[in-house]
Order: sequence, then C-alpha cells, then structure tokens
Amino acid sequence: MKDAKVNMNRAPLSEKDIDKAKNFDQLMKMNAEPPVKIKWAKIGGIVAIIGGVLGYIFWPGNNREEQIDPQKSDKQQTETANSEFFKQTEVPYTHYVVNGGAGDTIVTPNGTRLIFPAGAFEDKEGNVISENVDIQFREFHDVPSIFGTNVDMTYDSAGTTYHFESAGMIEMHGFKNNKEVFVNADQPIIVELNSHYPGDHYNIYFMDPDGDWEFVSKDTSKYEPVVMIMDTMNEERPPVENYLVIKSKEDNYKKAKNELNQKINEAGLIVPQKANDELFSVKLSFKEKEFPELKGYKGILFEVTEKNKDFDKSLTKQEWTDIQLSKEGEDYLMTLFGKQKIKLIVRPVFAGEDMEEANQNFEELFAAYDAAHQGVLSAAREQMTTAYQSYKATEDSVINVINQSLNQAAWSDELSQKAYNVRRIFEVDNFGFWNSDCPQNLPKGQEVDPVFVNADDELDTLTFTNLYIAEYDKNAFFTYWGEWGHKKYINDKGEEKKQFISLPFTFNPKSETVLWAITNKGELAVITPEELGKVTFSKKAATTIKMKLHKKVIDVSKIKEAIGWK
Amino acid sequence: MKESSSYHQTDQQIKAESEIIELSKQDPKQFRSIYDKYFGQIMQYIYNRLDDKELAADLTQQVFLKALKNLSKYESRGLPFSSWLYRIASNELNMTFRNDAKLKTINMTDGIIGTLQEEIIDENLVEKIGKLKQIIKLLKESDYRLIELRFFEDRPFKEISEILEITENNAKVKTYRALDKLKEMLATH
Repeated sequence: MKDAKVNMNRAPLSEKDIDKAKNFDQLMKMNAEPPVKIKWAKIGGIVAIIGGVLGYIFWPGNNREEQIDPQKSDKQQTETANSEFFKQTEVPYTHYVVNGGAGDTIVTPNGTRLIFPAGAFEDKEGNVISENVDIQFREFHDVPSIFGTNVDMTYDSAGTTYHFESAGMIEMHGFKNNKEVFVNADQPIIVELNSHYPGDHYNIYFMDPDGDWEFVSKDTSKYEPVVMIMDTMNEERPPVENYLVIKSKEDNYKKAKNELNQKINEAGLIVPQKANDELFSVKLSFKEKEFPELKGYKGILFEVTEKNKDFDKSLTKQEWTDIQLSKEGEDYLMTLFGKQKIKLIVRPVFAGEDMEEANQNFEELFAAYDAAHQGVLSAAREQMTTAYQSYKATEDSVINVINQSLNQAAWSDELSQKAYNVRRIFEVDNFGFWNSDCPQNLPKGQEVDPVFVNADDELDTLTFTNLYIAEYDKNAFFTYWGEWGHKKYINDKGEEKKQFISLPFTFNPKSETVLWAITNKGELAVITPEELGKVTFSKKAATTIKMKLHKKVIDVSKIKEAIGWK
Repeated sequence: MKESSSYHQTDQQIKAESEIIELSKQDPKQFRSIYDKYFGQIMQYIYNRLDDKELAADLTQQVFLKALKNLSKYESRGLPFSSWLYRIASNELNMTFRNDAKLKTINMTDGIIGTLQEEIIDENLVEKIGKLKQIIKLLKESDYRLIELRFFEDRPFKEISEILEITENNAKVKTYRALDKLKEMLATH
C-alpha cells in the first residue's frame, strides 16, 4: 500500500461515464463465447495488455491456423488442467492438537518449533479459547514443494514485481469443532522455522487474506549449529573412563616396569637396546670379567647417550691414544685420551642384525637368574605385563574417543557450513502463510521469443498458461504470467479467430536454468539446463524450445525428479 | 457506528432479486436488470481503487461476466446480490494489483474524512489530512479493504463477511483492529 497514489476529493464517476462503460449486449456476447479475460502481465519491464491480440507474438506462417486443435485453445481446459495438477502435488497438512488454555510447544519432523503460549487462540467473537484446538500445519523448504502447492511467490514493492527467494515458508490454521479459530493478537504464536538456507538477508512476509504478501519484519535468524552438534556428540559418545583411573593405571604400569628394571639391574643383567641411528656409537674391546652383565653378548656397540648435551660431533673425527670404559651407577662412562681428555656417558646397544641374538642371550640370562632366585624376575615381569595391558586397554579407548571426536568435529564443520540449523524466529498473529524471503528480480541476459513444442514430437505445439523459471543455485522460481500456444479470440467484428500466441521471456545463460509449465493436458513440460544449453537463440526469429513431457506427476517428489531439483 | 447502509435493501427487495437471479440462470438476458442496477455501484467501487476510468470499466464488465458465467453456483443467503459482485470485484482488483502495484489508488473525500473522524474520535483529523494521506498508505491492503468496505462503502458487517469470505464476527474484530492500527499510526507518526 505504501506505493498507492492518494487522491483527495477526486470527482466520482458521472452518469455519463457509467453509461458509456455499460454494454449489456457485449456482455451477452462475451458470455456466449469462451472468456477473453483482461489480464495484465509484466514482462521484462514492459507492461503488455493481453486482451484480444494486442501484445501477442504471432508465430510466422498463417497456415498454422489450419492445424489448430480447438480443444487446445480452450482456456478453461488449461485452467482445469492446472487445478487438477496442483490438487495432486500440494504438500499435505500435518495435524496437531494444542490445548488453548495450557499452550504447548510442538517440534515438527523438520525441526521447526511452534510455541503456543497459553491463551493463543480466540473465537470469532474474540473470546479466548481454553479447550483443544486442531492445528493444520505444513512447511515448505524448496522450489518443488512451493510450486506444487501453487503458492504465488510474487511480491509488489514500489511498483515493481519481485519474485521471492525462500528460506522457508509455513502455513498454519486452527479449528475448534471444525470451526475456524483465530490467533489472539495479545498472545502470538512463536515460530522458530528450521531453515535450510543460511544468510541474514531474508525478511518475514505474511500473505494477507487478499493473497498479497505483506512485509512484516526484518530477518531474525539464529544459528545453533554448535549447540545441536555438541548435544549429538554427547549422546553418541562411548563411555570414557575417568581420567584419574587412566592415570592410576599408567602409574601402576610405570611402577611395575621400574620394579622389574630394578630387579633386572640387581640381577646384574642389561636389557638389550637397539642402536639409535641418530646417535654416535663405537665398538670397544673390553674384558668380560670387568663387565659381567655384558657376558655372552656379541656385537655390542657403545652409544653416546642424549645425556651428553654438549657433545661435539667433531670428536668423532679426532685421533685418540687410549679409551677407557668404566661404570658409574647404571651408566657406563667412556673416557677418551688424546690431545685432550673427554668423558662421555654411553650405553651398550646392538645394531639391527645383532638385536635378535642379543634378546635371546638376555632371555637365557634372565631364565638362569630367575631359576636360581625363585622366579623373582618372571614374577616382576608378569606384574608389569598385567599393568601394561590394563593401561593400554584404557589408552586405546581414549584414542578411539579422540579419533571419534575428531571425526565428529569434521562432520560438525561440514554441517555448520551447510547451515542446516538456522532458526528464523517470528511471531504469528494471524493464521495463514508466513514466509522467510528475499525478493529477487527476474533473471536477465538472454531474451527469447519462444515456441514451446513437445520434445518427442516437434509438430505438437504446447499450450499452457504461466511459464516457470528457476536457477539451480537459488531457492526461487520466477513466474511469467500469460498464455502460450493456441488461443481463441474475438476480433473487432465480433468473429471468433484462432491464433498462435506467445510471450517473450528472459533467462540468465550463465546460470543453470530450468523452465517448466503445466500443459492444457495436465503434463509437466520441462526443459533442463543441459537441453536449454543446446538451444541456439535468434534475435530475428522465434526460437523452438523442446520440452520433455512428464505425465503422472502426482506429488512433490515427481516434480523434483522432473525438474532435476536437488 | 452506522446502523443503516445507503445500499440497504428490504427482505422483499432481496427476495425479488433472488427470483431474477433464478430466472437468469435459465435465461441470461434476464440478468439485465441486475446489471443495470449494480453496474454503476461496482464500477465506482473499482474506480475508487484505480485512477483509470477505462480500466475500471473493463474490470467492471469482467466482474459481471464472471458473475454471469458462475451464476449456476450462486445461492442466495438473504443478502443483496451485490455482496457477491463486490467479492468478485475485490478479487479482480487483487489480481490487477498483483500484476501492477502501481495501479493502486486511494481516493479520499471530505465525506470519508468525516466518517473517519467520527470513528477515530479525533476532532482535528481534518487538519491532519496531509498526515492521513501518508499514513493510510501504510495500512495493509487487507486492513484498508475492511475500512473501505465498512466506512467508505457503508457495507454492513454481514455483507463484508460475505464479500471477504470470513465470518461476520471476524469481520467486526478485524475491522476494528484495522481502525485501531490507523489510530495508533496517526498518534505515533
């Protein structure tokens, strides 16, 4: 209404104006013939009056008149076909019962929350209803479901017609004992629409009783991806041992390991270790009497340990006059004599090829000592093994949980990128259609004067009202109001004529565009982006657009399939 | 609130009209008296929302054509036949505005201002005409339609409910809510 022109004290119609307009004979004539409706269409910014033949594009070749099937030109037939089509494809309502006095919160299968406060309903007299109310509800989240329900998605603003790109839409009605009830404006229903589309550029619109969309409010979207996913993770996470239990098991293992090492040490044994490729080692000759723990081992190397923090690698290239090996506690000490005296902490290790033999030697020494000392070493080793297995089992569960968490975090990222859980929150103070939308202009780029034909029979020219266009990357479809195909009209002499008619349309050739229409036979005629991409457009002549006919389109899923909507 | 309508008809008049409608269902030529009776009224109603006499004339002819074509579906509910014509006219206007919102027009008169003054109880409303002209545009189309039918067209709520296909009480509730909105906007803008 904000664009309405306001006149003050404009002269009313005079008797002369009215008499001039009245023509009962013409009315009788029109009544006897198929209706020639005055319809206004807005195409590419040009307003064309579609009355009689003005504004139509005439298909070249007058001899086509002879090919006209009178049945096809019947506008009523087309309207009936449309009506029958939408009867089958409209999204069904879901029914809920809400107690008016207590209120309730309903979560729909799509995750949309409907919050009914106590006293949300009133009867036609304005009395608040405290009894049960039957709620009829349905929601729409994509082009096929909106189209299938035949919801007009055009929006007029400042004299321009826009087409809604939807982030989700609902329709809700209330009944008590089959009688319509109304929303109590003082206790509006709160809708948290679970939208599939991110972004804060969608506004809330309400379809008023006249079928016009009215702007209600700016976007009130709320993102909840983290909360929802964390909840899911908590629900699905396997039981995890308490951290203290894990720590205690690790301590037990370390303690058992130390005890074993201590006993091995007391037994005068060394546990063979493999040489570290990163460290320097040297082969030394020594007397086994001085180092009995090394008895029986072959290929022993003495490795400069990490304890030598200031170890100078150039020492390995110097010449030495003597080397001494001694033992200080658990460490071996290697002293190098030359121009200088250098002391290095070393440990006995084995190269890979000698490791197996060293282990065998160790096991023999271990067994011999154990046999002589009442199994003290094997008992300590068993204790350590048990403690290790217990700790490892817990450690594995920890690792699994960490991996699972990482996987879920990745999944969570993916979900949040898709923004599956954007909630668009608004108050409903009237039953009807509510829509979260962004007005869009008709696509631009390629203007087409089309002749729509059956892809399987090019002589079969298609007749329909309204042409629909959608781009795969937008949740919107654009409606060209008008008629295409064969049409009857009455000329100035009052004679009935038949003519081929068409209206131009534009589309963006850079987008994946799909076109469709409901033919006068009730089929869904579609041209996919792939086929549209093959069409050669001419500026001088009409372009033949071959549309595939889909019969038995009985629900939204069939529309999706036919127009290739993902 | 007005208790009578300038278009008020007696039960006898309504009954006589129903008989003509029944005859017209068999013989469309009988429809002439209905056409002559209401053409001007419906054309004026349409013209009040437009600024184009020719378009108003075309749409009015369409209203009567639709009425005639669907006459077999019409059942008298004790209301003047004009209620049905208004309903068709209202739908025709909706379709027209849907295709070109620029055509929307509001025609105010001193008489309308007087009626609003009476309903809104604002003695200074006449002085606020400039403001009212701006504010009335902010109303929703549906709210304006209710105010227009009730206060400008003087239609009883029973007829408004028939025209807008809502219950009589709902028509009352919605009309006075619309009037409250207008009052509030006048006070706050």
